[in-house]
Amino acid sequence: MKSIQGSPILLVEDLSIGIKKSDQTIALTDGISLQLLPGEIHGLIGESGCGKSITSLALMGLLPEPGGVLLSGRVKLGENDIFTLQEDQLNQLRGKKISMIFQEPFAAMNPLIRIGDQMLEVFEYHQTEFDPDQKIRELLNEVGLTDHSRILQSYPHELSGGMLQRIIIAMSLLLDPDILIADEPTTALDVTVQAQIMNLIVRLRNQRKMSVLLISHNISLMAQYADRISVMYAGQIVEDNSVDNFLKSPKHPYSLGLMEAIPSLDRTDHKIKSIPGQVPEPASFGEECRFIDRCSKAFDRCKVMPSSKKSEDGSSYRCHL
Amino acid sequence: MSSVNSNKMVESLVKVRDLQTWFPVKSGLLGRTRHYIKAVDGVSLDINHGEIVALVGESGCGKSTLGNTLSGLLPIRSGQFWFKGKQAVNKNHLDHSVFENKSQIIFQDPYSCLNPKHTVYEILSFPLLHHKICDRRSVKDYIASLLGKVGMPPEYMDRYPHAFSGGQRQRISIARAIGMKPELIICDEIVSSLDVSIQAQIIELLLELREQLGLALLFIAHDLSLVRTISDRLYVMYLGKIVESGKTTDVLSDPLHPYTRALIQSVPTLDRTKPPVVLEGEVPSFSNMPKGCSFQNRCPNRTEACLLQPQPSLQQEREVSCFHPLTIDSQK
Repeated sequence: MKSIQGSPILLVEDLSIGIKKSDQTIALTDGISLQLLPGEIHGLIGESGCGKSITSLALMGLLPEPGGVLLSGRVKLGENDIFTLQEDQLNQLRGKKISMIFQEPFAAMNPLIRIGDQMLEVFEYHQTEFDPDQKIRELLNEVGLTDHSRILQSYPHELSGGMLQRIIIAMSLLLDPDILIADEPTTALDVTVQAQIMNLIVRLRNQRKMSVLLISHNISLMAQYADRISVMYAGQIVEDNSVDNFLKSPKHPYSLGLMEAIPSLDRTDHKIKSIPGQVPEPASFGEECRFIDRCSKAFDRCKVMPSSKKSEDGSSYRCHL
Repeated sequence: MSSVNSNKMVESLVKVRDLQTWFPVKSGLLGRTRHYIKAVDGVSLDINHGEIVALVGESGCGKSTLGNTLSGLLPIRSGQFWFKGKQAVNKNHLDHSVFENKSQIIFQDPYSCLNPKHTVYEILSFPLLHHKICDRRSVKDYIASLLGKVGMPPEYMDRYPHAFSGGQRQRISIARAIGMKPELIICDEIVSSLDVSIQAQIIELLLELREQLGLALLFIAHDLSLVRTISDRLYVMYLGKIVESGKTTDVLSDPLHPYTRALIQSVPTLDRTKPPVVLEGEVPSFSNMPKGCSFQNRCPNRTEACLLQPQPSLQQEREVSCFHPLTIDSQK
């Protein structure tokens, strides 16, 4: 795969988000840094509860409700620092600069409103120079849906999950955003539909030079579609690497564990090996490395939290080894 | 009908022939039956003692309905079903006494299958006491040993389900199932809601228990990569019918049915030189099925012949329902 260059259009620096509960604040993510280059598909991988969805929502200026607080860091979208903006300024960026699609197509749509009306809602909040109706039909074509009048008249329950996810993708692209955040876009779908949707996302990326932040727990999906990958564990990014290097030699013991734990159709003689134990809860995060209890290579120094090290090949990882 | 294992002398644990589970669709003032959803339509399968058999297919293909039917949770329209050689179909229902508690089921969602108001002790003890697997005096020790088998400390028996993560809850479900000393466990997508590292833990546990207890498993799943690592034999289901079956390694490396091949090719792998191949089109809905072969609208090999219903036939030691099966050589 060709290497992607240019200056980042989205820059996350040292982002920590916490949640206030009665008298204490618990940090959910800790010092997240990542950058998104133009036209890049950047994978963010991690298990449930590792903070990947919280991070992705923060990119749109959204914090968990109630009690979400920004502890440190910033998100730079072009010239704008997301967390210094007012709500109405943010609303102008959302959808136009940065857009998002979610895991559950059925939960993302209002079941009581026809598809056509839901798509038109976008234009109630954003002034545009183009004709809404024409733009909607144009995008439906782009995502491979041709039966326009029937689809626009339908309610969400009348369509399949794959069709609905296409409509959501079309909807998220109505204002031609530069960045698409795809939070587990195919997890709820069958493999055959997954292949259709991922091909669509890749094609749109190529046509529009759009950047995609692909959030998933599926390494094989990342292997096939992402250019770069960030691995999250317990609120931290533990490894950031190009996908090619990651597949050849994952650096962090957790990344290595993940690679051992997954079955893959092309690994005929691979015996899956689990990572013992469980992901720690945010309230119990301490001073030591957060992977220490599950790591087979843990030693004395792991009592101190390792910082993120950069290596020569542009990758970085958070481990003493 | 012949199957891969028909030449064995041993009676298979489960033998199913031409099983049908149909759901009536009623409408109108009088609630007349307009048509049927043929969720399981003429399925034949065998499960041998101690064997892990996988059942794969896309969502809505009827695999969970088949699993529930085999557990006796749904009425049967027609067909035959032997459990350990005894006929289990009695009119339109399964005669549960035939199972003698030797068949258990574990469900997909670990959050909805454990009663939140009962402690782990209560959840595990009810079936044991009801079926007199053990008496009141010994039940506590037995439960402690069950928890030990699924890798949990005995003090967990006093806790409620909300205290546990998804993986731990699934372990409790497994403990509940193996407590009945079953010979067959039907596992309906039991790891699909778990994270990969936890998923691997549960799979290792199942394989270990199979070794220890000589269990047979019917492993219902949609994840072919997982099925490859765990199962001995494989059934591929499409719209209520089995389209291909055989040894897992054979079916996955050289599929004969075009649908099996499409399914395999759409799975992403770690090999970046082999991107997934897209199968166009959507699964037809059960209420609007094409006449003849149900895969014809998506099949690259379709001809006039496909307007008829293909029957399962034995080819290269595998059962395939297709007029134009792929040959092993053509794919090389």
